[in-house]
Amino acid sequence: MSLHLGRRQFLGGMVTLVGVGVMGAFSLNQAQAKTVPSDVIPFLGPHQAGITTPDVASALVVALDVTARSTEELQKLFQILTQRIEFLTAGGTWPPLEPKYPPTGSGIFGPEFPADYLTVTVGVGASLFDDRYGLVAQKPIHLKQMPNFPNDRLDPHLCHGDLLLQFCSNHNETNIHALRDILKQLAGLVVLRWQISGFQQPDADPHPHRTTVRNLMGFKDGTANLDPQDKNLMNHLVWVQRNSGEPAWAVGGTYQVVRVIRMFVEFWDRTALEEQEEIFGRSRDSGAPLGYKHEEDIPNYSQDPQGNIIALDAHIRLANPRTSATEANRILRKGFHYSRGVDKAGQLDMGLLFMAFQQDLERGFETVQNRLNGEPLEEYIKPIGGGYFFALPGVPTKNSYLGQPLLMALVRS
Amino acid sequence: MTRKTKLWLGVGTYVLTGITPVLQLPLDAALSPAMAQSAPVVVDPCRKGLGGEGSRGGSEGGEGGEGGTSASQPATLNPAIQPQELQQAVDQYKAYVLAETNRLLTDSQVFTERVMAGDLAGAQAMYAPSRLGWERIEPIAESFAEFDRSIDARVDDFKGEDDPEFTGFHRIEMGLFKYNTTKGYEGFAQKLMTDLEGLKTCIVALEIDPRDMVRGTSELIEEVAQGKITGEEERYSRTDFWAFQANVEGSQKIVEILRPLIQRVNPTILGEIDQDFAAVNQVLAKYALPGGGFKSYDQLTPQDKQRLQADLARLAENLAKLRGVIGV
Repeated sequence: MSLHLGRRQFLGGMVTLVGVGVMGAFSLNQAQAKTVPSDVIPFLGPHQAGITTPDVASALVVALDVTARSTEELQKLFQILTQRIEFLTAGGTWPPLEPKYPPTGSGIFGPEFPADYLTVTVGVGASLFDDRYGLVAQKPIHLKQMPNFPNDRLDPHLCHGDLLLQFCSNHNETNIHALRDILKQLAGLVVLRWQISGFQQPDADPHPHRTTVRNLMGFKDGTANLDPQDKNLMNHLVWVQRNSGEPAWAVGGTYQVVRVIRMFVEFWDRTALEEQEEIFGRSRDSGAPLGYKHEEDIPNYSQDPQGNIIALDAHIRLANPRTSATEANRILRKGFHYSRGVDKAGQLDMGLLFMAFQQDLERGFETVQNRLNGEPLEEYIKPIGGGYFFALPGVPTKNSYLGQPLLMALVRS
Repeated sequence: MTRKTKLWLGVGTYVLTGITPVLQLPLDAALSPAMAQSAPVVVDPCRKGLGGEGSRGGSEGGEGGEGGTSASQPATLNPAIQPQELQQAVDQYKAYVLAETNRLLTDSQVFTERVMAGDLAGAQAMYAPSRLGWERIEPIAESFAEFDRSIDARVDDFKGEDDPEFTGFHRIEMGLFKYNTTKGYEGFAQKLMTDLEGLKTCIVALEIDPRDMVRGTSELIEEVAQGKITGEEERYSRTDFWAFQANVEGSQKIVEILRPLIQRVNPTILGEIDQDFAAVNQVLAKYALPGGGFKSYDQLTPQDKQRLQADLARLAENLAKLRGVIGV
């Protein structure tokens, strides 16, 4: 099924009828006809699902540390992970078991569980490439531990990790169901490090290829995002290519940045609208760049060199200066809201679960973030967690597994 | 209704009717004076319940005491196992539980005497060893809700450090290690001994259900994985490694008793369980002191903590299958 869907349709969970003959001839008496849910995101492919896949309502990001005792156990970990993701993302039925044994699955959907657009995307952190498994020489060239940017206040309990699992689906329960199964199957091989869940609203006004949700500050976020359906663009900016200086196993993968960005929403809600709009560079209601009419309008900064209309340090202007020189810095973004209770000051702890994918960390996220350092928005936001990961290349065929090229490279070296 | 136990009265007086002790509690002063004049409330001190997982659905014997009727045999027993073999295993376990109970009482006697004698260093040194018996048979010991609360509850379960209901080992631990004193804890020491005597009476009268015995292996490891690993249990004394190891030993003991049966039915899982125990014990051994006992739990490195978390999770997954393997 084509994923070339409007976001709203996609979130709606369509059901495609696959019958014998044409749809018009379909009747209830045709026993051969059956309904096939269209909510399965194919697992196999050159790239992992969950990166250019259309957005869904719910995300769960889980960082793990690997406790495998040997390279063989690490291989076992990736094989189990592959097998579980394939099983879980397809939807299906739990095998029955004897009542004296613990049940096979958590049962939160009962004996049958839906696919629900589930994707599980696996990334590896720089810490996996130490001397434990002999992976030092295989590290992707730009992969490192996420540094502290000037405005960051990183909580060590919400940062980094050997492995990252990004669960995306339309319901929190689907993500939790998958997580619990994977953790059970990987007992002994991994330990939990941190996790955070995110959510987002379907856009009321869907674009043909992407979403623009409002962030928890009330502003449209992601208007200028890359079109994930544009394969050339993805090859140009997101997927690691051959002869790029990266280890051969990494081709088809991509660098994933995760940032947990706290927003001081009480303070923000007490800030004048004018100031809010100046900080972002967009009109709050329409999402249009200041001085323009429509959200999709592309601001022409050459006509506003002094920043009289859109301030020079407005968020959108720093993030994407729209020059030919900065085209290469663009990144594929994925944003969810998070909300996790109350801080010590008695204020709401909520904000943005930001993720970005790019071919090159330095050319992508780091360049953009360095441009943003010191922006006025910083008074209202505080990055508190996340990490740098390398999302593995996809699993092209049935009998291969995630991370196989990496482990095979190890055998050859 | 919450009862306030007045310390100087201890838990109450045991009245033995047959073999089951009956606990007479002084009434809470907050109750009406008229009621307070009436007969004391009778509570079964061996009541099962909230304290721990406990013995759900197990026969709660007591009439026959030890060596009475055999425990109910599950109809689901693996055909390769004879009912009498399972009963023998239960009897062996009962003997172990009794031996550990006696050790708990003997060691705690020394411990509480030192507290009452004002021997701070002596009491501190005896604190962790005196608890080993309890930790080894924790699923059994904590299944008696009243005693679990009065003997082994932590300050978090009460209104605060000064809550008179906060009694038992951890109240005394707080005095010995946080405030470096025995003064004012003599009454708690005395009450601890009284409670332990009461607990023993309940354990002696307990008929262990084979299912509970098998579940006990898991419960002890879940106990460690959920609680002990965080170091919250022995927060003042930092003797968590002692309790940790005693829990593991208690779990391993049950596996040892069941070894011939598991070996016959599923040697693969037995091999995995052995490996898992070896892995956990290997990390614990790094923290053992040459003269016995353990280093402070503060010494645990983040890497070893992670190692333990992983190995305990794998062990717990495997132990969870034992009920199915044996068929209880």
